[in-house]
Amino acid sequence: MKFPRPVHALVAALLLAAPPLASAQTIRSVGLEPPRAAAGTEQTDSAQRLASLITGTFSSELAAAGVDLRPASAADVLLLVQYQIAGARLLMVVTLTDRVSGLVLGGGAYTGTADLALVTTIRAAAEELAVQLRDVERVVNERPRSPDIVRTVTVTSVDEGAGVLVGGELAAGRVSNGGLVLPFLPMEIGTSLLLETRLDGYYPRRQTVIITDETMVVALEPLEPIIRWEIAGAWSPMRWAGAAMGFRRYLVPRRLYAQSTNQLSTRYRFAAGSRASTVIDTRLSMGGYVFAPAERRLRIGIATGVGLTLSTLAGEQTVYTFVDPYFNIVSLELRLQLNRFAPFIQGEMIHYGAADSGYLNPGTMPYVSLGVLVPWRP
Amino acid sequence: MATMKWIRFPVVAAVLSAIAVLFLSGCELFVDPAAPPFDDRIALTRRIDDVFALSPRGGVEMTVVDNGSGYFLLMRGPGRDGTDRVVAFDSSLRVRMNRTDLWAVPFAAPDANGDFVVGNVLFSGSTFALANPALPVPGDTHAVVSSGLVNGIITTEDPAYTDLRMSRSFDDAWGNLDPPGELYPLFPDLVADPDGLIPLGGFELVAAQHDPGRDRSGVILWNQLRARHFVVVLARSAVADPLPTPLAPPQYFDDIDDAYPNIDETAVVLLPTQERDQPVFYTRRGIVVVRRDGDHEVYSLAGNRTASYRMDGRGDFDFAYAPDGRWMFFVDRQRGRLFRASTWW
Repeated sequence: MKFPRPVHALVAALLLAAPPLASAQTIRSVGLEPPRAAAGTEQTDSAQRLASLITGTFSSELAAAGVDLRPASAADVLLLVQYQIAGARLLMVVTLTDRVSGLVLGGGAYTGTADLALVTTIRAAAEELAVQLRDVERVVNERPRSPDIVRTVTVTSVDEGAGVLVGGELAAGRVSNGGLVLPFLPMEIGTSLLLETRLDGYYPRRQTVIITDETMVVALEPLEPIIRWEIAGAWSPMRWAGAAMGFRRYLVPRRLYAQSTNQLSTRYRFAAGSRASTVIDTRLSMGGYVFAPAERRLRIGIATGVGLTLSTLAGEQTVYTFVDPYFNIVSLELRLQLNRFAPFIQGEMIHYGAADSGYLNPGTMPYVSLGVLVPWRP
Repeated sequence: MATMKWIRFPVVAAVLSAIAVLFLSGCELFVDPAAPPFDDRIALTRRIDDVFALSPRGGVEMTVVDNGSGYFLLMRGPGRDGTDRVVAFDSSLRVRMNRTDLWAVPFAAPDANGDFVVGNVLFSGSTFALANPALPVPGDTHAVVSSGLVNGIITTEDPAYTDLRMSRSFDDAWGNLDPPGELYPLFPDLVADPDGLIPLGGFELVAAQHDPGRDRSGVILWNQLRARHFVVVLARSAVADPLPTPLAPPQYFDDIDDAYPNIDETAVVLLPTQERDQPVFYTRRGIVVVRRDGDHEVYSLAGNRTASYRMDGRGDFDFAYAPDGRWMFFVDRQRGRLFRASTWW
């Protein structure tokens, strides 16, 4: 199964719709990324020592300037130092970026010498950067607070391997070990999110969830398999000492089917004087679910068909066999589709003729049966 | 699988409990509407549309005669040639007699020799061959209804059936007694109504059946004023030893033993019927009433209903019960088929 490629326009729209992090919350922490040497800088041991020195000095000076330093993965703002050595001169380009949105919040270029004066240069840079950070923070605090957005959406599903699409188009991944963490979706709390689940052999299912929290766990509804064959098991109180089994082939999935059914029962009543007998009822029928959208769990089906009832009675020193053909005028079925099976109740009108081979009462009779349909792969 | 939780034990248990309650209560839901009645008890069957021209509206009249060593089913109905026929089937449902005489089949009875009397004709008790085409039954006899056991008869002296009388008019070989036995009133104004008021205007004889196994005869009467069937069960001595002199009839049923001390073990059963044509059968195991909708009810000699079988109007059938209470016969008028089945209660 192929999923559509990410649609950049959709991503862009989502990103544009969401305010940048800087305006979403107060800047509180800074994380230092490893310094990067400019292109052409040799990666010598002295260069590596210089990078360590830059990192260490920036850390201590920023801390001294009152900046909250945290690991880069947990900070609001990332501080990146790019440096270049030209002889004894050192050029540093420092950038402050929002960790989530990538927006540049501040920064500057600083020059000095690659010696002990480096500490003085970094101290001056750190103090200036601290001022910039406080300015950003002050501006943010003076602006109206933007709406909250969802941080993490995790979906759970019983359909292992099912692909999840966001907005009907953006492939978010496949369910693994019963769950999937959706990529960051900068959606406001209170908005709705359309999720579509797809899996080979199953009908896709769409569901809309309302974003209610920054962290959400959404249980995806189980997928309904695309059924070509079903096995039907049924029991009729009218022929209570027996059961029926049928095979149903869907000519149009969910809609139109052909079915053969065999019912075996006995008229023996488990009482003194009752005689042994068997009744085999064989039927061919056609039917479908035409009254409601096929996606509904509760469906009403209608069918018609023809059949034969073969009755064998143990008479007095003889065995009687009767064959009664009949016409299944109509069967109405109320079916509840569950995850892996579908219980149903069926009412039907059967018309028996008065064939010479038979002995059942001629006329039209009502029957009721209860049963269950189970998908089958022949 | 969260969607399955609700369908688990409580729902399943409730559904199964409801089914069990309906089943145990004899709900019609547990009856195959296409199945013939007593479908689990059918011992023999055959088509009879080669003899009778049956239709859903045109039924047959049946009675079972039993002489203690064998029984026959007598059936009267429209023949294929357009004339009514009386046919005797043996216990294997083979035709043993097929005649166009229009006897009153419900009054057929075994005689003292084990032969069968149908109207005024005597048939062999073993083969149903014709034995005597014209018994010397008095001309004013309306019906020979209880010749069984001994060759006494119960006659109805006038068509109004205001009185039933019994006499032992013949010897065992159907020779006339000389002098002939006297007629004795048997059931005049027999049953009082619950308030003790003067009861009935008389009875109409409907049928009689004889159970040689217990020396009992059941005489089935219809009273138009009360619109009820009465079944009078006679013991052998009631027929064999008629009263020496006529007695004044008792006014009330409670007096019967005092008034007729020789009619031992006589019982009178009042049935909750409402139509004269409802079939009523006396059997050793109870009195069976077949309702218009086909339901069957069994009453004890005390008049209590002891069993019932619901048909609810399914199909078009005629029924008859053997006097020993072991077998029943029924005819499917739509299919022209006769069944013999063991009784169901």
